[in-house]
Order: sequence, then C-alpha cells, then structure tokens
Amino acid sequence: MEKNIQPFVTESAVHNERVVSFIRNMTLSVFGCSAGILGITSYHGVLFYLFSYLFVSFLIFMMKMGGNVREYYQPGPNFWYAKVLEGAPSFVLFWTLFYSLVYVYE
Amino acid sequence: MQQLLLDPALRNWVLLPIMFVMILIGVLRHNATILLQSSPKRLTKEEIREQRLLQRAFSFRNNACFLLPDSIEKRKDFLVDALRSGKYLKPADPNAPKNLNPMMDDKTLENLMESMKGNMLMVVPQTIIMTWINEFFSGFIILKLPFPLTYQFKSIFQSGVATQDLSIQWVSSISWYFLNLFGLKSVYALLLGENNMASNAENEMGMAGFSLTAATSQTIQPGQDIAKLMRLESENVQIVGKNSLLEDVESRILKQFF
Repeated sequence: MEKNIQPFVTESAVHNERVVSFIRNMTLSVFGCSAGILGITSYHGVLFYLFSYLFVSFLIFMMKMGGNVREYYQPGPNFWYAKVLEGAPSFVLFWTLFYSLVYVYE
Repeated sequence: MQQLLLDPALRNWVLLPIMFVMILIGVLRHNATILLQSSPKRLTKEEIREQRLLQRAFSFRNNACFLLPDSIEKRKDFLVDALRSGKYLKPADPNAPKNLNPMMDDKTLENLMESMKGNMLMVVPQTIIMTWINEFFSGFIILKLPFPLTYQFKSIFQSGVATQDLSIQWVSSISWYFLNLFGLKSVYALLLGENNMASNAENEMGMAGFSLTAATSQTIQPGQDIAKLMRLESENVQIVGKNSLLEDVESRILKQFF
C-alpha cells in the first residue's frame, strides 16, 4: 500500500536514466580529448577516467539531484557504480585520437 | 621509447577520413533503418476488441487500488463475466486454415523479417568498410595508442607491417577502425538523439521496443488461444483484493496539514 501512495513511475525512471547516460557519454568524451591533449599514458589514463567519471557523477549528484539520489534513481547506490564502463569506448577513442594528433604528428 | 615521425599527410588522408566515413555511414544506417521499417499491421475490429479487453483486465489488476471499493466490485463483476462468457471473442473463421505449425504463421514470419532486416543493416556496412580499409589503407602505421597491450594483439593491430621490434603502441588503420566502431556511440547520440539506430544500443532497443509493440499491436504468440488467455485473466481478476487507497484518505490528508 505504501508503494502505491508514492508510486514508482517507469517512464520517469527510464527518462532519468537516459539523461544521466547521455550526460556521462558527452562529458567522458570531452575528458578523453583532454586526456589526450595532456599526454596521459597507460594506467594514468585509467585513473583519469575513473576520476572524471566520479567527478561528473558528483556534479550530477549535487547540482541536479540536490544530494538525494533515491528520489531520482532506483535503486540508489547503483547510480555511482552500475554503469562505469559505459563511456569507456568513447573515452578511449578520443584519448587516442588527440594523443596522436598532438604528440605524434607534427 | 620509440619515436616515429609520421607524415601529416597520413593524418589528413587516412585518420580523419576514416572517422568521417564511419560517422556518415552510421547516420545513413540510422536513416535507412527508419525508412525500411514496415508500417504497423492493420487488425480487424474483432481482433482489436479482444485484445483491448485483455489489456483492460490487466490494467484493472494493476491499478485497482486507486478506485473506490464499490467501483472495484462493479468492475470486477463486469470483467469476470465478459472474460468468461466469450462475448468479446473474435468469431471463428471457417475459412482460416488450422495452423498446425506455429512457425509458419504469418505474424511470426513478419517478425523474423524485421529482425533479419535489422541484422543485415548492421552487418553489411561493417563488412564493406572493413574490406575497404584492408584494401586501401594497409601497410602503414597511422596511430600511437597511449596504452600498451600484450603481444597477441600484434598480428591484428599491426596487420600490414610485419616487424619484430616495433612496440605494440604503434598500430595500423584496422585498429583505428575498431576504435571507431566502439567509440562513436556518443557522437551518434549527439547527432541523432538518444534512441538512434546507428549505435549498438539498437540491439537492446530492438528487444525493448519489440516487447512494447508486441503487447499493444498483437498478442504474444499468435498461436496461443485467446479464449484460454481470457479464462486465466478472469481468475486473476477474481482475486483482486478490496484494498483501496481511498479508505483512510481523510485522516492522511489531515495528518499532512495538522
């Protein structure tokens, strides 16, 4: 009965998830460009990826959710670690591209 | 650390064109998928009626708690009667052949065609581009990966250049193709909106969209007996409880304000 007083609307949950996923993809690609320009190599790159992922998630957490994950995303803690590898291919693509453009070519 | 100097012409004529072509082919594939989708099938009035009754029973079961208690009773009686009596069933067509083989049914064939079209649209451009790259862009190094890999990848990634000492970080254009294949999803999301048909997310979208359209436009397996489904549904409707959210609503509202 409690669940029906504040019902879980599937459409909103899907929409929220899509927005978060879109933000993450875009920003992680841009962070990939910056990683390439800065000349980061090998495992520093993985650390940079994790750092930028947490940074973006933290910004979404503070600015868009106002510190309350459970209202916008079900189940709550999944927001931080469930889709870590989603933006990884784009990150690697842009990282490689800009690293080569800046450091390998003239 | 090995330092190779690469000609800027390689960047202008190989690196950027391959990326550009792959982006364009992705956009093309998205548009082609949309254009090739067949329009939804027309159902007859009787077929729609029986499906709508089933959907009505389903949503009644899910949302009964929002109604008043005697409203629940009335709807329950009506639905159970309608589902059991078969008033809404499609009249049996004497001309329709008995489908002994559920695989050859019309509707399943159409679903198969749709999924096959989707698969072909994914596979064919990938094959074409891979052949094109192997034909024209082999035999030289164009890229340095910022991260090292193991030796097994040497044969794949340095396909045209067979040297012993070259570190694995220097790769040829086929690896650039693979990087683009997996990494352009965010670019497609930017150009085409989120539900685009060009990224591999279409596979999951295909499944989800499939089940949604299947629920609304046709029943799940066309071979199943609608009458049997209705009987099952009538039993489910009978056990809908009498809990209504509106029972204590006055005290809850008062509690909110006082």
